[in-house]
Amino acid sequence: MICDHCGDNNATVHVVRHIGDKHEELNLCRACAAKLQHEMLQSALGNIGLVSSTPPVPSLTCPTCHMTADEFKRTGRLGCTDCYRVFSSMILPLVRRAQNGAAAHTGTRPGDGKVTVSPAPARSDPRAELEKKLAEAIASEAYEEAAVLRDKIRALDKKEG
Amino acid sequence: MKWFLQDAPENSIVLSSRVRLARNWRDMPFPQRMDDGQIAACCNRAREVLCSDNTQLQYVALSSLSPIDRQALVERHVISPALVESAERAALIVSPDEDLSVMVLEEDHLRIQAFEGGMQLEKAYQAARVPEGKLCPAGMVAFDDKLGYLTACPTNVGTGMRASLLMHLPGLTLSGQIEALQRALSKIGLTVRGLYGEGSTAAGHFYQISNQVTLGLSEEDILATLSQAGHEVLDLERQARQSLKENKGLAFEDQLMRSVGILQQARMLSSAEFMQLLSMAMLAADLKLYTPPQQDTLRRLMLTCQAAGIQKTAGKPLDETARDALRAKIVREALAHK
Repeated sequence: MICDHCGDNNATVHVVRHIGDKHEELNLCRACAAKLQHEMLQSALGNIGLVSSTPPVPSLTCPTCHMTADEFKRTGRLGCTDCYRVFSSMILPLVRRAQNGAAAHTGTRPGDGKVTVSPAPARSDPRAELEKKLAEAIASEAYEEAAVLRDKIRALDKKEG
Repeated sequence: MKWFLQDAPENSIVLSSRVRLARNWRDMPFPQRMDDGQIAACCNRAREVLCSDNTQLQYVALSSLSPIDRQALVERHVISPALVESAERAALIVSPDEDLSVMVLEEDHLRIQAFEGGMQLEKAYQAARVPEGKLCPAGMVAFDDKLGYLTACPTNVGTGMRASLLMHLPGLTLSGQIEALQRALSKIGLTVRGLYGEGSTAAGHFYQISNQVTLGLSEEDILATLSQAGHEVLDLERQARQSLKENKGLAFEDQLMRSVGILQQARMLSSAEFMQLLSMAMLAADLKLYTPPQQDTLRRLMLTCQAAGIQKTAGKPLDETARDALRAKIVREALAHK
């Protein structure tokens, strides 16, 4: 029997296809059967979004360091500063996602002199603060509040002691 | 490692503060794309800038170190695991105390880092800015007006700064609050990682809290956010410790002191068990249930008793069984009552 597809080779594979209500039987040679299987697989994967149905676009390449877009996608690393310009359409969304939506630098710049970072606000002494509040509570005769503050001071002393 | 052992602000919970700046020179491709000539030029430039004016900074080619010595540097946080992976080409410039180091040819040309003991992020930042100023004058460094400092991985652009606090959080771990903490911190752009950074597990309840976001915030904002969050975590950890002590009472005390007992008597200690027990002993010391022979004994052990540190002490490679035995011996002797 001759292959239904190419009409040249001997058919050695019998294929039964069900597409919707249609029933189709084919007698194919090994090469045509393999090709058909590949096409069906591609079409199925394309339908569930695993394979792009559009033909592949030639990969972008950085003229300075020859980094390709594929390589950048694979490694997540750029080859040189020019890559930032070449792959900007890929990089900017990535940066925005990683940086909570931020897209512009606001920090120091090269050559900025000594940067003064103000020290973190001094940690207040919690015991002293409570004592101050206690004195105020007593002065204003808020004895219930004073009792609560006194217990807090005792708990603090116990914790530290 | 004086910075790690000295008494420093809040250092019963915040073991250290670190600031790391990622920088690249604009006239060379990023490390992944460099040829041998560019690799040599990059290392030489860093060396000439930092080591030629009697600053006491030492230049070390990673390839000149044994695998054990490299790993010991990772264990002491002087270099990252990623630098070891590039050991063939990478170099390290380091101060005698190891509180300042520059990793050359890690992911970027330069990773400049400074450490301080305890909660001292601003001081660490200022320390890192000194070599950065020498290495990266205007016009030489890869910088973009919009994106800031350009890095090999585009997610580090902006300040290129990673600031982190190494915190000991047994209270929050034992009371099951770490995951909630991680979620809360991620909302303000901070991330919680294990002892050796990205991908590492939190051995012995030690965690690194660091900024995730590097763009859109100034260095000052990043440090202030981390510092404030660090103080809040510190307070939460204190409360968690106190509540464990009060609610679990004698059972908790027993658990802590048994850990001290095992450290004092064990004949074999695996690295994981050691870190777990050490964490409990540190907690016991903080709660004044146990007094170590010296104030810094437990921290010193933490630095020297990891796998490579043990082999460095032995002066030769050891298999796991021999390491566990030597670790137990060192710990036993360090904790023996004088």
